[in-house]
Amino acid sequence: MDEEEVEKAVLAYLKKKGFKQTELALQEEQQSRNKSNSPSTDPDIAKHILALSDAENIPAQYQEGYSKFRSWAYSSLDLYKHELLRVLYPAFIHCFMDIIAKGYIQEARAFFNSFREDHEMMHSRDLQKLEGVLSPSHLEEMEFAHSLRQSKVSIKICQYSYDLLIQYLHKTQLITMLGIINERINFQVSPGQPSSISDDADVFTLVGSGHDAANLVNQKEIHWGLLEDSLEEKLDKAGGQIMDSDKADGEVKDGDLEENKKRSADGGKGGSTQKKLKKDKVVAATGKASRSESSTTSGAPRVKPELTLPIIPTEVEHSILEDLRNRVQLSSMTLPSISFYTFINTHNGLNCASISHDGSLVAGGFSDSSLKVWDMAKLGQQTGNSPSQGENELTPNENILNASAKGRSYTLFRGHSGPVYSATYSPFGDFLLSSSSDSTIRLWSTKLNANLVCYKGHNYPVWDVQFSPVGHYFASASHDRTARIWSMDRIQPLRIMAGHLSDVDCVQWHANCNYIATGSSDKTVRLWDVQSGECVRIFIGHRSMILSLAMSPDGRYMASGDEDGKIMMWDLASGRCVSPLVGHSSCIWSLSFSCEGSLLASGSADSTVKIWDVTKSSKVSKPEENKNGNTNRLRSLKTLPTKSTPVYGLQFSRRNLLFAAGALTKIA
Amino acid sequence: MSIVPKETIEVIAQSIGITNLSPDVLPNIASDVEYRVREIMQEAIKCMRHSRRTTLTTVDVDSALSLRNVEPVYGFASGDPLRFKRAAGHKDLFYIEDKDVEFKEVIEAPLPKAPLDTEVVAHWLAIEGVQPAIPENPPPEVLTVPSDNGKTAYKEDGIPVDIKLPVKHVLSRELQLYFEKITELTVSRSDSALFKEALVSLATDSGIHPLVPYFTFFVADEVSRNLNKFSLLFALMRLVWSLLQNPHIHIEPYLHQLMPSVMTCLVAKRLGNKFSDNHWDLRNFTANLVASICKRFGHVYHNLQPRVTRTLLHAFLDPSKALPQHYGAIQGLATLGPNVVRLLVLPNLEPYLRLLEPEMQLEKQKNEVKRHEAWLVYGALMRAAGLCMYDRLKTLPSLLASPARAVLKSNAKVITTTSKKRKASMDNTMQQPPLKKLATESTMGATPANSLPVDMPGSSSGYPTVIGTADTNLQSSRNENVPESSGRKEMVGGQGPKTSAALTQAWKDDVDAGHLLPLLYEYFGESMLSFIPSPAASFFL
Repeated sequence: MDEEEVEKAVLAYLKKKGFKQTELALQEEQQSRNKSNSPSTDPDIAKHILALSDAENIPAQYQEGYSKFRSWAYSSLDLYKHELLRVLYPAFIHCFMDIIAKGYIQEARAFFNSFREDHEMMHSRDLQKLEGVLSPSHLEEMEFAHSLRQSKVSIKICQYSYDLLIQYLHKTQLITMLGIINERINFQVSPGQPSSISDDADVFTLVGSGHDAANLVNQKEIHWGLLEDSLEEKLDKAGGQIMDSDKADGEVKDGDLEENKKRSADGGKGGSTQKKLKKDKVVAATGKASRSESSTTSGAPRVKPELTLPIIPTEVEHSILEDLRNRVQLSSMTLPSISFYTFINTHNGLNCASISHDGSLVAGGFSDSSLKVWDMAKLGQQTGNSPSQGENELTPNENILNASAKGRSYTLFRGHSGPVYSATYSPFGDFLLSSSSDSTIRLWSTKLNANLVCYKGHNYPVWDVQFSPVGHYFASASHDRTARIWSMDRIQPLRIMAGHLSDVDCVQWHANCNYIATGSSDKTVRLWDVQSGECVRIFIGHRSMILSLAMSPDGRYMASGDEDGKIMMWDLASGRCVSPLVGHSSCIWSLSFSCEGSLLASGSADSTVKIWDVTKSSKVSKPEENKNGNTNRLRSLKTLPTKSTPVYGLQFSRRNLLFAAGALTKIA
Repeated sequence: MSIVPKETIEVIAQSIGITNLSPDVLPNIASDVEYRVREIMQEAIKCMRHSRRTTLTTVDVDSALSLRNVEPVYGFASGDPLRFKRAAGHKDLFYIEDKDVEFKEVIEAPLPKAPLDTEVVAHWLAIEGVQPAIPENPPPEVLTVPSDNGKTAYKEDGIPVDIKLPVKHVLSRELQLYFEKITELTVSRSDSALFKEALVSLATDSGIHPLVPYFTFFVADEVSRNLNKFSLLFALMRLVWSLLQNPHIHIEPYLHQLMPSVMTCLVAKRLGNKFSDNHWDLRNFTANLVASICKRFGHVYHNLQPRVTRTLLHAFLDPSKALPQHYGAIQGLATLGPNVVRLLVLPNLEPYLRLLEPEMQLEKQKNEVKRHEAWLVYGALMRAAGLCMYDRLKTLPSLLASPARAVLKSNAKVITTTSKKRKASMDNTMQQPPLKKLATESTMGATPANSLPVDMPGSSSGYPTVIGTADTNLQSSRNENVPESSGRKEMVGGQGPKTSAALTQAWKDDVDAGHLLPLLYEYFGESMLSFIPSPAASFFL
């Protein structure tokens, strides 16, 4: 073999693979070598490189290379096996795409089909997407494939596994595989023992600009603390005040009593005041007790609001404080009571169900563009078991009366021109927002039963809309891959959050209103700063589309539920998954934290509501977590099956009564 | 290469008027078609998820198309999931049935019923974490499975978890209606087929637990007020029976309210019209009811059976009580099992029979009705004693030679219930001390019985069947046999001085049984023979 030929082959190879620097380096070296004139090349390598450029054999080479590599990985030592197996999937899809890119469609299909079972379990959705790729032009057109080819996959691997891999590839001269692995995979080699199997490092999710960028994003600082001056704090203060005034009163009373003793004639009056005081004292004591128990929330740091917050009317504030005082403390020992609202005769048309914070109003969004609102306080009267006892003081019933007089039990809101995909109540129950496939969001007044505003801004169906915890602001998520922040008084969005690679499917506010979280079909959850509109966290770990999100009341954690029935708990500060909650067998439509954050309720398409204990994981300290992988497993406390009713919506009331809603489906 | 064959493309091209399509284009178009179809379906799946469904419908495909600004495919919309049929002869080819519809028929057909409007109903899915057993929730058997899993999970975690029982029941409208309907049926139309349906529903429905206190009160109330309405009483007892059958009901806490009414129906002096109504049936039925209650809850309510027995015995032994009351008491005691009969009825048999005898005789009791009653009581007594003896004798055959049993098993027509046998034999082992006492008692009873052979012809003469001479032979031969067998056993016992006390006790029982038979024979005559299990009979004959 001629030396020049070899050099040509090497250069051709490097050019083809885009190794520009190596190419340059080689050229430089060649030049220097030409000067010194000392040829010494391994003819073997040259042969291989030439074989590579031999167009006839390309698909066969890939096929052979991959199958060899695969059988080696499967027969490797158990200790390192799982790490090596992780390399297989990126190698597989890139082999496939390379073959396609070279135009061997039929061979690519054969290759794909012969090895797809290996990855079916973990990556079935990606495989379904890739299966459709049938020509080189599709690779360009299809965003998923395109971005796959643009970015590198990063895989954590221990030093020994890495050495094993490289050694094997060199020894067996699987040049194709070596090329792919060099080109597409970014190894993060770590010294020491291989990571444990349970470690979820084998997730393979695409993030716009690669994992490094995601890691960078996750370095940013976030203030997950609660708002200063929140109502709960006010409650605490109020409790303290009552105590103080009580003390003062007590002293006065003592004085009075002495006087009373002297003037025994006035005894009756003194007795009555004494009783009243006692009563007050009891109230204060309960208030205090609840305060001391709800230490989880008060323990969180305080942050200043970045948005100008709306002013809460005093009477509303009072009723909320009343609710907070009467809150039932939930824990793994005291599970919540659940009131279930079943939609019947929906004819498969119900798209969403939303329940107001006091449980008195239920809204259903239908595929016939209608939005229907039921006043459960009135319906409840018939059956005599109104579950919302005393909590519906906020809703005026007069206006809705005329609606029910027509023979309907609900109020019909008409205005959308496409299926209604989501609805949300303002925290005080006086407004209702709905989003629809007609790409608009509409604001309705539950007092006037009328449409107030139509917000146009999205270009595609709006999948989800959520009021902020303080009202006034709301966030929307759309098929146009953006999430937007709005305020009720402007018809233009305040912020547009762009960055997801696919539909934004769900959105949720952080407890302090400074952040929103979005879940997307690109299998990531992102956290955005409302003020700057920047992405501050990317949570990678889900294997399918994210359908529901919930934020813990103390602002530290977030739960996300996906299409496969998996729920993940995330620590916002670190951006890492605390623990996956596995138990549901189908889509998680809804998630909700109890008010003091000790329980998480999940509603699923498998017709169950599950209650999870989330206090345990939160309190496990870091070193313990490292010691034993099982301690941070959150546990399912209770599974509550419904009668063939998938659970569409969940809502903890301020008094910790759980409301759930779903449409009864016929058993096929 | 692609799923869409190129012939399809060709056909479609021709159908829209393109005939000169070059064959090179076909595979390219085919692959692109597949790609686009997959793309649309992915969007359709998104739409399906956002419509909170797990079945893909044509509507989803339409909305996916409209997302791409493509005209939707019309004519396939349907509210329900499509029903696919498998094409004959193909494994994975499905189609939707599309029937030809006569236009005229469609026009002339009456307007279909308007679909029901959407409604929302509220119920408690859980109260403090416990699911109440109401019709809106799935039946308890579904519930128990996951809760078991939950319990094991607790164990793993090592955290004690106490689950509170439901504290509050909400009586829904449906349940109220149900209760009203059932009570109305019981009171007024207990003979209708509908009532039978209602009983079945009571015995099987899982959601009626909240109604149990109401039913209990209803039964108690109605029984106390309507002692002369026979059909109502019977209906009430059947209602109680059905409630007891229901596996989903936790009836225990209400038993103390229920028992007085039930006992009333068993031993009351008058149940319905004395002449026209067959209150005997009611008493029989109630006796079985009482027995089943004792059997099911006896171990939980340790004083339940003693109380019932005491009440019944009191009724039985009080000569001032009417004969129907005696009848009820005997039936009740008989259903409680042979041991009860042996312990309580048999010792009192002889004096009681002496009392009963004049009532049965034509000469002494002129009242037709009274005499009939007396005969019924006599029959009940005989049955009770006979079953008791049958049970005792059953322990014997185990000692008998098996060939004899095999031969004669075919004519075992009286062997009634095997479950009773097993239970009785269990009782046997458990009640050793009283048996000992009884053994002595019955032997004592046997001696006076032997001294009263004169009574026998008198009592049996009233019996319609005539006893032949063969019977006396039988009797004598049996009398010979019994001592012989017991003697032989005692001999064996003497031979083996090391035999355990238990064994001798068992033999004593056999001896006791041996004594029992002639005793009862003396009281009841030949009719007693039918109660002897055939292997034992073979032994005696």
